[in-house]
Amino acid sequence: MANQPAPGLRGAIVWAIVSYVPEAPFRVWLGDQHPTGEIADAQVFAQQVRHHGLDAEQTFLAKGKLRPILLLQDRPRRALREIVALRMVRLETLSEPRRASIRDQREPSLFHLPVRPAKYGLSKEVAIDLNALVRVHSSAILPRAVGRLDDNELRVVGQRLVEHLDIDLEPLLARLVEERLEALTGPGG
Amino acid sequence: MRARQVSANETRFPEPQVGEAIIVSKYAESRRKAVILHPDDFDLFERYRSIFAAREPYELRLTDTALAAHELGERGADEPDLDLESLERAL
Repeated sequence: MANQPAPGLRGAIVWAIVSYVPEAPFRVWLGDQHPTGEIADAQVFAQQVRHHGLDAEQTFLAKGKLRPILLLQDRPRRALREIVALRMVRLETLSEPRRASIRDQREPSLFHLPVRPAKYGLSKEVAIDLNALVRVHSSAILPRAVGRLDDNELRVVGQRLVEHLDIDLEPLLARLVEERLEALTGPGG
Repeated sequence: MRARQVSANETRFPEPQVGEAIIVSKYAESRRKAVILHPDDFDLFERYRSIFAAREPYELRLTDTALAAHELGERGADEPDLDLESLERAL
């Protein structure tokens, strides 16, 4: 099933090619016969597009890496080929006090996964980085999931992610409470 | 809202009951100068404010450890080697 991730992706730990976020100075590929171009920042690029006829679409050179990620969405229809995921971070290069803080669940941004190959499929201690939301194309994901988070773990990750993304759920929650109250107190409730 | 502490010895004011707001006014009640609340009501007001006030961006709450780990991951510097055992399972 290469390039065809199966349904049930949500919560799966998979290996995928994950691009780093491009940052200034931006490197641009200008063709085989030309050296790589460099653009100082987004404003310089915009000015060149606006005033010097540079095409707004360029081939930007960005590094990528094969690494494990946690998939956050299912794609049962396979209508959308891009999947939102969270990148994981290995803990071994962090200092011992920092690792202890993560293991003791004192870091809401870092969801700790101990070495449990049978469950998580990883032979290194990692944490899911709630600040590292990525979007990967399904063709960039290796076909077999190596591990999976259970429903409770996913619920915790989801709740923390809402906070990390500064999403205001209060209007939604208020509406749901109102609807529930109406259902309970209305005719037939 | 900032809360400023003033010693009770330094000022005279009427003592409000729970659930009562005493409005100190000027110019025959046309202008409110201050409102005095019972501490319990002020605590309730603070709780409401924490629930309904504009949220602060989560970035303001990030710890040094969260930032250090994120920075390592963002540069790929968290992986001194590849977890080949795991990668093998994925193929």
